[in-house]
Amino acid sequence: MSTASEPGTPWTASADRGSAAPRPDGPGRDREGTRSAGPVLDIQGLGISYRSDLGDVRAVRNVDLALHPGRIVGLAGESGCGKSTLAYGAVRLLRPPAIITAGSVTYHGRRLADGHPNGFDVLAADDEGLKAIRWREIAIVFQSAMNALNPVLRIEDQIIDGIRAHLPVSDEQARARARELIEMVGITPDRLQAYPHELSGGMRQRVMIAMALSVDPEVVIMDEPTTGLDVIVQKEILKEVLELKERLGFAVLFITHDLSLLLEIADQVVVMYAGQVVETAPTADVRIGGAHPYTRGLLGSFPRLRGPRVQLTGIPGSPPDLRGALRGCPFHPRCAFAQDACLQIDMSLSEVPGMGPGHLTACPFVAPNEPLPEAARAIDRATGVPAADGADATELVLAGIDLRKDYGGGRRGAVVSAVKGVSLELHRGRVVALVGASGSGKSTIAKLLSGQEKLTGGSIRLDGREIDPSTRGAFRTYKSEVQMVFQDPFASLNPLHTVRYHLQRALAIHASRTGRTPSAAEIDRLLGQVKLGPVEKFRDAYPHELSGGQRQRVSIARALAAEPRVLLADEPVSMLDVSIRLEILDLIAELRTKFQLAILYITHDIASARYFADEILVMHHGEIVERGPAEQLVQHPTHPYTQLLIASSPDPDTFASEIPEQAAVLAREGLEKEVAAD
Amino acid sequence: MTVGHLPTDTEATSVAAPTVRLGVSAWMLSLGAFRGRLPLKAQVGLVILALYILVAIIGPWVAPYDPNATTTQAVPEAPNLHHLLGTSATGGDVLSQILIGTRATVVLGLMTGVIATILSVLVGTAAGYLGGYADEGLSLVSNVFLVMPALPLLVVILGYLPHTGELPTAIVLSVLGWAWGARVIRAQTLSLRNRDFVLAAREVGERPWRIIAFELLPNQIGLIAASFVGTVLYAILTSVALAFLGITNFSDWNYGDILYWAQSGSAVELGAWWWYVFPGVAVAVLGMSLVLINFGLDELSNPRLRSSRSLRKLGRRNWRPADPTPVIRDYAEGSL
Amino acid sequence: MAFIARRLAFYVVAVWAAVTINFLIPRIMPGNAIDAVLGRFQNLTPQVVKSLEVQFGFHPKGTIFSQYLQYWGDVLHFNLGVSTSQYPTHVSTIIGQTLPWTLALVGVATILSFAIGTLLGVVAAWRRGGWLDRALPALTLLQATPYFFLALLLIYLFAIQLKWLPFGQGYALGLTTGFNWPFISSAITHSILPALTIIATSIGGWMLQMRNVMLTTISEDYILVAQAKGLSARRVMLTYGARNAILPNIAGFALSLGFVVAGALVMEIVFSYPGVGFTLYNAVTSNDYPLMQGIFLVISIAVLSASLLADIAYAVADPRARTRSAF
Repeated sequence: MSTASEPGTPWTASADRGSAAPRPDGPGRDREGTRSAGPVLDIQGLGISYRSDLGDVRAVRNVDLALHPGRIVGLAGESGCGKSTLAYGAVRLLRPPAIITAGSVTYHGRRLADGHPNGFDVLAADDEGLKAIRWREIAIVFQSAMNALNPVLRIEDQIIDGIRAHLPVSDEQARARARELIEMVGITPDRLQAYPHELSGGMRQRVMIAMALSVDPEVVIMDEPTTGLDVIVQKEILKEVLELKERLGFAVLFITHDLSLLLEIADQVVVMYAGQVVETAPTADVRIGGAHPYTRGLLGSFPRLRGPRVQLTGIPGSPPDLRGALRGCPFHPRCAFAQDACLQIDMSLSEVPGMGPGHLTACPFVAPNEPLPEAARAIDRATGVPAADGADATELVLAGIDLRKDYGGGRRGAVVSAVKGVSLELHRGRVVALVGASGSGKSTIAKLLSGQEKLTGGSIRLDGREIDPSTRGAFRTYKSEVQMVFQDPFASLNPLHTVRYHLQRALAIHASRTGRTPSAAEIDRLLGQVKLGPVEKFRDAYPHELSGGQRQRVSIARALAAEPRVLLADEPVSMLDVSIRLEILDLIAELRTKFQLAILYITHDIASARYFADEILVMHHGEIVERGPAEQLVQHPTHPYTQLLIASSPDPDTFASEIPEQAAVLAREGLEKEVAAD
Repeated sequence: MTVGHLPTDTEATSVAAPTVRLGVSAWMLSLGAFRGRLPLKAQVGLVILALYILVAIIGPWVAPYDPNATTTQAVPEAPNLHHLLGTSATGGDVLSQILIGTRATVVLGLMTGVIATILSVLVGTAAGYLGGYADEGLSLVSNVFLVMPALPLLVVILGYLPHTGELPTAIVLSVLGWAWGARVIRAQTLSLRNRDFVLAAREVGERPWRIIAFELLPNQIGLIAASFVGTVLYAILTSVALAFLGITNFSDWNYGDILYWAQSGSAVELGAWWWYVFPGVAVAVLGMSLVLINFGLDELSNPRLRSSRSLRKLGRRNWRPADPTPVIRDYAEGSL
Repeated sequence: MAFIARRLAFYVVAVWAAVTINFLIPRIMPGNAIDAVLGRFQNLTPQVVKSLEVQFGFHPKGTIFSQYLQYWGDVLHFNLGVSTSQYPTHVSTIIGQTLPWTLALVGVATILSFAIGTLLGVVAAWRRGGWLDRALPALTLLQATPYFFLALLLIYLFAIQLKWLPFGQGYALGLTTGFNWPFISSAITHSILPALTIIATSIGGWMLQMRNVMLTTISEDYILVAQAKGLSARRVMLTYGARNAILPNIAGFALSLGFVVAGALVMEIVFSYPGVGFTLYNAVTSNDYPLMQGIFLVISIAVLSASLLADIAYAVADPRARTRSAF
């Protein structure tokens, strides 16, 4: 990685700034006292609405936020909480029907200090003023770099046009700068001539970061910059972001739904709910447990990799409708501590007793370490801790022996082996987790076991008898034993059919074996099993009337209609909001106990596997690299890839820990493979 | 002239069909079609089309004159009280010719639309659902039909088949006109086939024909409707053109026949504008109604094409994508 | 590039299909075309009768397969037979005289219409709700108007009432064809109304399609990124928006040429323009089967070649095309 720019080029402004900016010589929080300057970006009382014919959605309500040079503010919250709206609104990139209705956004950049002694008023700026501010002063790293890069322009041209829009440089200089930037984010300069589709997801995200830093902005907004990437790549990119921030001293607004990620990298955490900030605190304070019940709920929704295997709480319910005014605390209907007074508070932030001055909460009632009330603990899940580990004496239902799957060949040329000889056994009443990164072949296993794809080699045995589920004849009998739950609950139900239709069909198809008629009573029984009540409300609902969690429940009910003995769950919760995930996992765990289901849980998230499974298989490049009882495997991983996976998973307690040497080598290889694969 | 059957009608849906967003809008389209929230444009189009169908049914009974009637006069008569839309050079009443010609024109269009759409759905769904070599083969065939210039081929075929009636013409038109719809439906089927709810239906144990009939097709109703409307437009414009060229010889009057006689009677040079303007406008308005219906279907399928009322409420109709987010303080709901 | 190779393979199949259809049509049609011809021309020489027989296979010599091979041989040598209505001129000679007129007129008008329509579509989408956007439905309605009807109206207005422009034929009578100014200027003025007809009826379609795709493109993230970069609105609109939105339009262009050309042929007939469309019409009305078929073959091949060019343009414009399948 090359570092300093050539002297005399316009982006060396950062050198001047370096003297004024805090030196990257210590933890962010210690710097606070030494810096005289205020925030570089100051958002006060911002309000943003989306106009709609059905009533305006007030997505951001009276939000204050301040960014300081060299510091990372993490903005967390579930989808729809307004965190992205806030960020894009602050640079006025939102399009109608979005409008900014209140507040101020002031930018105090050094380069603008002369012309704007009181700061640059973003909300009062015109087109030209904003054009000058954007990228040069405030840059954005977009969420999905696949869609964020122009598919028909070479990477180099996309970096250069941003530079040339702001700096009076020659083409040569701009190209030199692009080379320097791309090396800075760990990509070889020859990739500059590539088009976006020729790069892997991780590389595109790096390009996006390089682009954002191209004209030395003082503020970088990162909107879910690593969502959708594998944990190992995510870790690499985050490390790079931290390093660059230390070196260049820009301020970061880091937006994510993943609070545990923020605990690793942010200096300050801001938690939003229903368009409002409910808590803002130094990261260290959040690590030991937030003050606001919502923050605590979020923290309780993440399975952890280290420490004792604790029960998780999750957050029941779903966020409120943001149309119109909200009375009192919007979190009140989902809150374990709710009381009548919650409807009267005005949601202003106040200091948390016993904490530092930077720690503010909107909840005046709950102290940070107050235990959950009795009532809330009563509905605490019974599950969460799997069956005892020594239970391998149970009956074997489904076994895959030396499964192989090749793609390609023939006209397309090279053969790609997605699965290279994987064996696994699913026992009655036990959960096996198959953990791996995208492209590891784990979803192919699900497709093979469900009969969606034909085996290239190996065999599948149901009750010891070999069966080929992908053949027409065997398919139906097999389906009555082995059912599947899909990843995306928004796609797995036909939008034109009601819940009743979906369940009725599933019951009718398997009626001869289960002896159950597709009657209303049976449908109600299924809905009851997945805890969708009152049944009258759901029976005739269309999928678009249900929330993600409810749809996934319908999906599970449909699978149960066949009364299967095996359930294949391919990332059943990864598309759901953090607070909902736990409910669904708990439901599956409960059904497992109730019906003694054999479950294959496929996931990229080893922490949730630890929480949920009895046995973990770690898959890498089409092979099982390590397998073992869940707890033992997580605590004492032996294969370097498993070690790397665990070290890379976001977990507040592990970030400081070094990645083992062997694992680091593997990571590098993985990255190169990633490059080669595209 | 057959531009109505161009990508304009359906391509907007098919173009981005691979993207997830459009997948979503495809079912929104179907939902919309079911719930009768048709955009105004489509409603206007449907009303006009209904009028034409009404005239097609009752036209021959209400026509005041025999369209073939001839008088001894040698000049076309301008519109007057006896002949509201004037007469041809041989004294034929233009109004009667139009009223009677509507039936043949509309029937031929609808007939072709039905036959061609059935072909499109069969080929498109089969290609998209079966995949593999079946898909390659069917796609190849439909692409060949698509790039083959249909009208000259029609002219040649009909040149060999003098005095063709409506049904053979409709069949030939269908055979040459199904390919576009098949292509669009195939693309949509392809994207739907890999959607989870189709896989899930397979997982539950549904049989392929049921998946096609109950999972895939209902999600494509909007697309099929758009393809049908586009084909009807193509059929009407083409058949009118063929009649205008005197290549077909339908048993009944067709709008094209009126124009054929007007052209061969030198109506333009004589200044007998009524002779060709009225039938021409009749075709144009019929075509317009179909274009309007497809406009509406397009808007249903792609919400982005709709002009938003909320946008208008901002008071800036001429908003551009690069404009900064508007700042409107003193904001009260519904006040804008 | 794999994409181009696949497309080329497709066009080979398409050309094969066009030639084969041409071969089959006279052989599967009911009735006896040659009798119709013979009935019309009582005094054809035996050689002509013989050549017609060979060409249409009505009194076949050899198997249908050997006829088919013979036919391919003829096609590859541009031996398309002898016109019966302009006996004894060869069909290839007639096409050689008429094709340039059509290519020049239809080619230029179609490309103009596509270019202008696409550009207007970009502007209409960018200035959503502006006057151009609001005028779009009216423009698009022109596509529901038959070419020939619009042609008649234009003739009436500009040629007969206003007498601004000539109509009928490709140039004024009495001029020597060739590279001389009186002829060229006459040819140009004679082509204005036909070209206007083509442009007016097809421009709305291109514009609407471009506008719709552009509206979808505008909500892509990379447009937002371009704005976040502080690029000029012009660059955002053209390099980021239009540059992507035009791709489906190019693909659509390749596929819809057949329709456009068909319409243009009818237009030629109204204007008595000396191109292949008018000639085809004359061939049909005079039962000149060899000429009819020769023209169909040439039109097919011209349209297929233009589609191929559009496909190549697409492959050049879209870097992703090389990894994508051709259909």
